[in-house]
Amino acid sequence: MSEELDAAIYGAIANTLENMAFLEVGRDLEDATRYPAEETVCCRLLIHDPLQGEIYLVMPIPLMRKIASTVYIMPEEELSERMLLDMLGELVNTVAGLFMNAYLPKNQTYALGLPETGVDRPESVLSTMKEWEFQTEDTVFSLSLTGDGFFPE
Amino acid sequence: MNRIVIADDSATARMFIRRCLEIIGLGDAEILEAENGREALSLVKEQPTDLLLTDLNMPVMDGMALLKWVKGSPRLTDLPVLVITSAGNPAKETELCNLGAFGVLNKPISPASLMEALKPLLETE
Repeated sequence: MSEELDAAIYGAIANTLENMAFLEVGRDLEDATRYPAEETVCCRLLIHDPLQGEIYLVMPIPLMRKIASTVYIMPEEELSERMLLDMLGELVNTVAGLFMNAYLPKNQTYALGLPETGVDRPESVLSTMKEWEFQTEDTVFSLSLTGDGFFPE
Repeated sequence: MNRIVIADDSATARMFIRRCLEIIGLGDAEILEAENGREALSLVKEQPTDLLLTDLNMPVMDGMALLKWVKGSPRLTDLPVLVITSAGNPAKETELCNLGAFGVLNKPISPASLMEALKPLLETE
């Protein structure tokens, strides 16, 4: 089950960044740059049904600028904070959909909430949580999933 | 195609869809953007529209409600509605098509997938 979860999460984030920003996502973090928490932005999306949980995407601001610059075809310095946060919201929205489609049985419908940007970094005291770290453009970012239903004992 | 309305609460998604429309040769159409279903409904009621592209998950009025409003209105019922969503799967697609959507595209979209989805519509032009 854990391997399925890992594959579904990786597939969702890799597909999203490749299709939206032509970026390759890797799992080898050895030479990648890590940014401190205060230089990152976080977005949360609630999963309502059939399992309940949350997906968090935490990205360094310089990486978000790079991605948004590619997607909007605009110089990084012209991107507003609102554009960056909207971009992050759209990324997590797309990742969540791809993840749920890969993880749930084929014809299972599901319900997702709306992305909430500018939230605190994931810290779940209510349920089980798992964090995955990836890199793109030699920069580390993370994706977290909470919800007991995703982590059966 | 003269007038196209895009409904999505994300400016990034609207821009992405707009760019795909331009790449597949529909850039000459008047492309209008709405942040939710209510705004989109107001735009399609305002003037004859050739195509409505809508997200599902939106505040104020979601894409499902928008689709029901459009298909329930005698004046708008023939308006082709393509749903572009991150929450699509075969069961959802069937449900949306039964409600009158002519297609469902899963995010992330590409110019090629949009072209493929719009093919039946473009062929009749």
